[in-house]
This record gives sequence, C-alpha cells and structure tokens, in this order.
Amino acid sequence: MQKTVIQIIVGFAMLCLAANLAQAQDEPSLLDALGEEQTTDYATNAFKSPRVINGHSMEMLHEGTLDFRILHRFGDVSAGYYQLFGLDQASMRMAFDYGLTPNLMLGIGRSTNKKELDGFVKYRILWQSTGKRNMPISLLWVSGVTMNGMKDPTGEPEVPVTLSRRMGYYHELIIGRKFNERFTMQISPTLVHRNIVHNKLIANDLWAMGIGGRYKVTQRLAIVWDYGYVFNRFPANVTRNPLSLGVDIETGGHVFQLHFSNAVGMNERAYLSDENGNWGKGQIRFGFNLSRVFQIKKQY
Amino acid sequence: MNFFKSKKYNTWAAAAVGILMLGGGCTREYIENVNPVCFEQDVLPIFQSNCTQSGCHNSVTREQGYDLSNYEGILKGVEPGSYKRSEMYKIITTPFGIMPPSPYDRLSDDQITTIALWIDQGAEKTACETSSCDTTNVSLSGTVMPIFETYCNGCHGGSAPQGDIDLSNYTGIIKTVNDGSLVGSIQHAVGYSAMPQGSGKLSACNISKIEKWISLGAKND
Repeated sequence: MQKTVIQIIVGFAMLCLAANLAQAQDEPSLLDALGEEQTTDYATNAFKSPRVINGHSMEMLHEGTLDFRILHRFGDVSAGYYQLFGLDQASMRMAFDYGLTPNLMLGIGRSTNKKELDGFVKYRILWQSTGKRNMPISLLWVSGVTMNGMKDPTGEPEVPVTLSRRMGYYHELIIGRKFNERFTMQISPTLVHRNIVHNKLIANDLWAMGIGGRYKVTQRLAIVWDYGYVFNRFPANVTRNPLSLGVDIETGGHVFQLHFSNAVGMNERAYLSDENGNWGKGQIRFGFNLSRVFQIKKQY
Repeated sequence: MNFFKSKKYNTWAAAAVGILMLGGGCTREYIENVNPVCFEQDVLPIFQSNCTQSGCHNSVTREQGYDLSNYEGILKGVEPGSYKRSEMYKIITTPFGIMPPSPYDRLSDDQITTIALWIDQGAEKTACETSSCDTTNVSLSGTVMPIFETYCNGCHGGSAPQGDIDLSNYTGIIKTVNDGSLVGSIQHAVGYSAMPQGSGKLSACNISKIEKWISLGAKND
C-alpha cells in the first residue's frame, strides 16, 4: 500500500513534468523577441494561498490584506458509515493572517486540537523574478511559536505545569520556484523544537523536509500536494509523515482547499510531530481550508 | 494610516519576532518515569505475545536463529545502552522487511518505546515487585483491555486476528466471555487451548481481575 502511494506521487510528478515540457516547447521565447528587458517581472500566484495545504507556501499576502482562515479536519475515513466516514468528528483551526508589507506577514491561529495557540512571522528574502532583476527562486523564512492550552499540557498530572512546558517553536526556510503558469514546486527544511517531550528518547529538536507543489488545471482549479519527511522521529515510522493531496478551488475572494491527509494537526508542530494516521491502513481524513481575504488598507 | 508608510518595517519585524520569542524561551526537558522499565513485567510479555507464536521465534522453531521467549534469546539482538545500534529496534521500526511480518501488525508506539527505553537503561534482566492485587474498580477499558493489549493482542487483534478471535474490542471479547473460552483458556482448563500460547500463564492477579470484571456483568465500561 505504501508502495502504491509512492507510485501515485511519482506518477503525479511525471505527469506534471511532461505537461510542463510540452508547453515549454510550444511557446516562442518572449525574452528573445524583446531583447533587453527594463522592468522586473515578479512571479505571482505561485499558489492560490499562503499555505500549500498544511505547510506554508512561497506565496505571501498582499500588503494590507487580512486573510481569515477556517480550517477543518474530520475523523478517519476508515471509521465507516456510522461516523459518516469521519465527518461526525471535526477539529478546526481559526486563523488571522495579515500582510504587513509586501515581504512580511504575521499570523495567529488557534486549534481545537490541544487547544493550541500559534503565531508566526513570515519574511520573503528573495522573490523569484525575471527581467532587470533575474532571480530563479523565491526564498522565505518562517518562524513560529505554539502554545498548548490544555489544563494538563503534558498529560502527566505529576509534572508541574509551567508556561515553558506549553511552548514549542518552529523555524522553516522555503525554497520555491514557479516553473510556469501551471506548475510550482517548493522544498522547506524545517526545525521544530518542543520544550518538553514524553520520554528521554524523543528528540526535543525535530528535523524535517517539506515538499509541496501545485499544478493548475484551470483558472479556478488547482491540484496541490504537501509532504513532510521527518528525519528523527521516535519511534521511527515513515507512515506517520504527513502527506496531503488536495484541490484548490477559487471563487471570487474565497479559496477553498479540499484535501485528504493523514495529518491531524494544523500547525507545524502538530502536523510534523504528533501521531498522524497511517496512509497504508486508510487512516486518512477529509479536510478543507476556507480562506477569505479582506483588503484592510487601501492599495496605492 | 501614515504609520504604515513610514518604512519602519524593520522595527515592526523585530517587535514581532520579539513577541514570538516571549513566553518561557527555549528549554529542553523530558518526562522521566520514576520506575525503570521492568524486563519481566513490561518487555518479555511484548515479545511473547507478538513474536513467539508457532513457526516464529519460539524455542522450538527458532526462526532465523532467534528464540525470543527468554532473556538470553532477546539479548542476542540487543546492544545494551544503545537502542539505535540494536538490531532489535531496527527490525521493529524499519519501513522495509519489518517484524512482526505481514499480516501481523507493527508493534504499537508504546510497545516500541518500552523496548527502546529498556535497551537504553542497559537491557538488564530486571523484575519488579508487584504490588498486592487490587481487584476493586475493575473496568474493561481501565483493567481488562490493558492486560489483553500486553499479553494477547499480538495474535488476537490487529487486521488478521488468530483463530478469528479478536480481543482488541468489546464485540470480540464478549464473544469469548459468553462461550466460556476466555476463562477456560487463561486458566489452562481442560478442553480449551491454553493461553497465552508459548509463554507462562497470566499472573493470578491478572486472572482474578478478568474474572471479577466478568462476574460484574462483563460490561463495556
């Protein structure tokens, strides 16, 4: 089953590459025709939203826009009809993200899972562009903090509760490229730090590599995928790495992200370090992200 | 909104990062159980339940030369002090060629943690004093299921339960309660196959807990 999943992913990637190449051959090079370019053309709309599915994407909010996000994850599809394939059990995350400048955004969110509060800062260091300033990739930095809000955050009544025992942090570098109108890929080396872990053998620092991408099918519809490979999970278990496949649907002002995923959590600490389901055993769940963008500050 | 135009972006960024880093700062702690892992009570039953069924790593078949029904046999795959270098840990967590093999399920994360912690603590043949048997407040989820999980679910659970007897859920358990095979098997009564197979009888305390739960009506509590 694991093999099948891998085959599907590789298949997807091949399909996208093939389409990519076919398209590239058709187009006459605009740059050649124009000769020297005087303006810088920045890559925009690499993703429909600042999140791929769970992970941050190489996309930023515009300056002065507020993104109100409501994320839902349902129960295991394998629970069958009695639980309406998981739809009876929902967990959610509500979040506000704000674009402070074109290259800086802030966000806060709260998940029902572990009553966890999270906040982040996202900064774009390099912006993929062509023309006067030629930059093949976008490079972004994200730092975030999570706070477990349970009365007993460790689950062990004997362990005294302190603020620091509630906290976790994550730092992430996103390297992405929009290859053409349709196809975008990004990788994101990530460090997740938990201040307290459940036993001696679990590392406080978790290292992971995120791989995300998008293939735009039509103007309003795109296929997205998102995977996180965790290098030092204890106990080692590749089937728990979060893998999500979904579609983005854009309807004027809203972006709906519908997907299937084995991940339970909706922030970096949760989806990378928590016990996710096993894809091989059908422990996947349906989820959707709803994003509504408001223009707070007038654009000049 | 002139403030936004004043290009004080760097101040904003610094303030935001500062806010994020507030609240306890970065520490490194882990929760340590005051009781070390006991070989006899915690580790051995995992091997006996999951690895020593007939045709596998028991004293008769010794599949691949491994007899995992006793301490000496288990120690062959263990590097005391380092779970990462121990074959035993590698084989129960590897994505390819994992043990227990299909159709048996992977050991639970709790079971793997118990084994790894035991190796980390030196992989010694420890036995713990059992406290006196307490049969008050027995329940299915709090008393009976944990016993089954340790001693029975390796075979009688998961996706392919042995003999079609599944002791990992109430429906499966109540079936064996009603036909008497549960009590018969764990008491090694004549006419029933003695369980757990290939290892010792359950402790008298565990048996009396299960019997108490049945005498209270075998409720799904």
